[in-house]
Amino acid sequence: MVTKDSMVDILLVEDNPDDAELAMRALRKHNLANRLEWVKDGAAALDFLFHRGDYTHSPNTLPRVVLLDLRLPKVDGIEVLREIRAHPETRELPVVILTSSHEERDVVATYELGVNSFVAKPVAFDEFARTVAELGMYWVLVNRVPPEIRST
Amino acid sequence: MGIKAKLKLIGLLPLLVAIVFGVTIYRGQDRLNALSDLALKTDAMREALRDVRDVSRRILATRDNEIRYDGYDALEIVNLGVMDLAVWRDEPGMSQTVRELDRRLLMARIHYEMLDGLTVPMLKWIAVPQITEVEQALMTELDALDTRLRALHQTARAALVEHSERLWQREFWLLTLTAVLVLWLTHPMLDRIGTALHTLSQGTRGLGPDGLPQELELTGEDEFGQLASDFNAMVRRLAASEAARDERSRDLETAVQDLENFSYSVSHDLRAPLRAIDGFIGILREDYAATLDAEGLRLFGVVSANAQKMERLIDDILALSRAGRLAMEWMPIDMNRMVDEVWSDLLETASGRPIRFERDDLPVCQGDPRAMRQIWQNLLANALKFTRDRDPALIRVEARTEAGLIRYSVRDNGAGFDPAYSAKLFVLFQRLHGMDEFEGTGVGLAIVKRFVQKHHGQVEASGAVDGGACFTFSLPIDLES
Repeated sequence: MVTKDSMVDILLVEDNPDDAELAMRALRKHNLANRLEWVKDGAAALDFLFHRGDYTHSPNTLPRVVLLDLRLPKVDGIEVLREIRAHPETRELPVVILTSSHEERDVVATYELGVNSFVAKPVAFDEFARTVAELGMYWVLVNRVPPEIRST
Repeated sequence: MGIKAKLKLIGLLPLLVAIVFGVTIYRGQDRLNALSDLALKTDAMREALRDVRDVSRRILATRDNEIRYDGYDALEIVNLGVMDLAVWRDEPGMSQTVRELDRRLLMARIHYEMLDGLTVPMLKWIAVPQITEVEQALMTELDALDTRLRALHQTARAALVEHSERLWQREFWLLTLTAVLVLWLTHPMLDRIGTALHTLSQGTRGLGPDGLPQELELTGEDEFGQLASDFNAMVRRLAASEAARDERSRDLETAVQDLENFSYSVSHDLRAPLRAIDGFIGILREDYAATLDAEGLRLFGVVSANAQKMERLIDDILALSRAGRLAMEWMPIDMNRMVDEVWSDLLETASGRPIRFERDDLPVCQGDPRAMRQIWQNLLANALKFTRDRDPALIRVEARTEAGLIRYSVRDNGAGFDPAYSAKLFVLFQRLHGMDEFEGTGVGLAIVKRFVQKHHGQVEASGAVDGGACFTFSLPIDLES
C-alpha cells in the first residue's frame, strides 16, 4: 500500500494483466520494479496522480514516468494524457505511450497532446522485455526532470 | 389550346383575307372592265353618229350614190351599240336611257331613209324644201342621240373612277382590319412567350441552397406549361436521386468507419494475446530451461515462431487495409532517389552475400510518394528474398516509355515462378512457394497491385522456375487523362 511518504518511480497504466506481468518482470530483472505502481484503467491513473478516490493517500511526489496504454477501460489513454497536460502540477510529467497500436493516427494524436515518447509493444517476448527494460532504465535512471515536479 | 395550334389558326386568318382580297379584286375588276368598255363603246357610237352626219351632208352636196350605204353602216354600228347596252338594263335609269336611244335611233334611221329616198339624181325642185326639212329633223335626232351618248359616256367615266376608288378603299380597310386582328390575337401569345422564356431561363439557371435546380412557377395548358411541368418532374427526380445518393454515401461512410474501427481493433486487440503467448513461453524457456529436455524447448520454439508469424500476418493485413484507404496526394516523384533510398534501407537487413544491383536512369512520374515507396519496397524486398541462394544475386531496375505509359521493371535472377500460376501472384494470401522455402504472407504483391491500380496503372509479372522473375508496373504519363 502506497502512502504519502513512499516514492513511486514508474506508474504503469495497463488493463491487460498479462502485459502488465510481462512488463513488471522485465523491469524487475533490472531492479526497476520496486517503486512501481500498476493501475488498471485511466480513471485510476488520474485518481493516483491527483489524490482522489482510492488514492487520497497516494504520494505527493510525482512518478518519474507514466507508462500509459491507449485502450483503457473507463477513461482511455488519450483522455488521461489530455488531463495530465491540462493540469499545471502534472503538465511536465514525462508520459510514455506503450501500446499495441501501430496506427499513425494514434501517434499523431498523442504527439499533438505533448507525449514524451510513443512505443509500440513488440509481440516477440525478448524484444518486448528488452524494450520495456530500456524504457525503464532511461526514464528512471538516465533522464533528469525539473526539480519542482519531484518536490513535495 | 397550345401555342402551336393558336399560331396555326392565326396564320389561317391572313390566308382567308388574301382569298377574300383576291375575289373582291377580281369581281371589282370585272365591273371596272365593263365600265371602261361602256365608255369606249359610247365613244365609238358617237363617232358613228358623226359619220352619219358627214355622209348626210355629202349626199346633199354631191348626190353621190356610192356613199349612201356608209350612212346605213354607221347607223347599224350605233344600233349594235345600243343593243349591247341591254346588259346594263339593271342599272338604275339605264332601261329608260336605252329605250330613249332606241326610239331616237329609229327616228334617225327613218329620216335618213327619207333623205336617201328624196335625194335621187333626178331631183325635182319641189322636193328641195322637203329635203331641207328632213335634214333638219335628222340632225336634231342625231344631236339628241349624241347628247344622250355623251351623258352616258360621262356617267360611265365617273362610275369608273368612283368604283375604282371604292374598291381600293375597301381593300385598304380589309388589310388594316386583318393586321389589327392578327396583332390583337397574337399579343397575348407574345406576352406569354416572353414571360415564359424569362421564367424558364431564370429558373433553369438558378440553383437552390442544396445546389439543385428549383421547381419553376409556371402554370398553363400550353407548351410552356408542359415544359415547366416536365422540368419540375425532372427536378423532383434529380432531388430524389440526389437524396438516394446521399443516403448511399452515408451508408458507405458508415461502412468505411466500421472497417477502420475493425482494423484498429485487430491492430490492438489481436496483438495482446499473441504477446502473452510469446511472453509466457519466453518466461518458461528462461526460468524452466533446466527442467525441459531438448524436444520440449523445440516445441516451445515452434509456438513462439507461430505467434511471431501471426503478428506479421496481422501487420500485413493492416498494411493492405491502409493501402485501400490511403488518400492519394499527387506530386512529381524522383524515382531514382526513391529507389536508391529504398534499396539502401533494404540492404541494411540483408546479410553480406554478394549482390549486384543495377539501376537505369528512371523517368520522373506523378504519384503518391507513400504508395510509390511501398511499391518499390515490396518489389525490391521480394527480389532480395528470392535471390537468397544466388551467387551473385542480380537485381536490375529498368524503365521504358511507350504509348503514353512509363513501364518500370524489377528483374532478378532468383527462384522465379511457374508462369502457369502467374495470375495467382497478385491475389491476396496466394503464394507460389512453401513457407519452408521462402517466408511470407502473400500480401506484399496484393498491396503492390492495389497501389498501382490507384495510380490508374497495371502490374504484370513474367518468369520461369529457377529462371528469375520480372515484375513490371506501368503508369500513365499524363494522369489527368
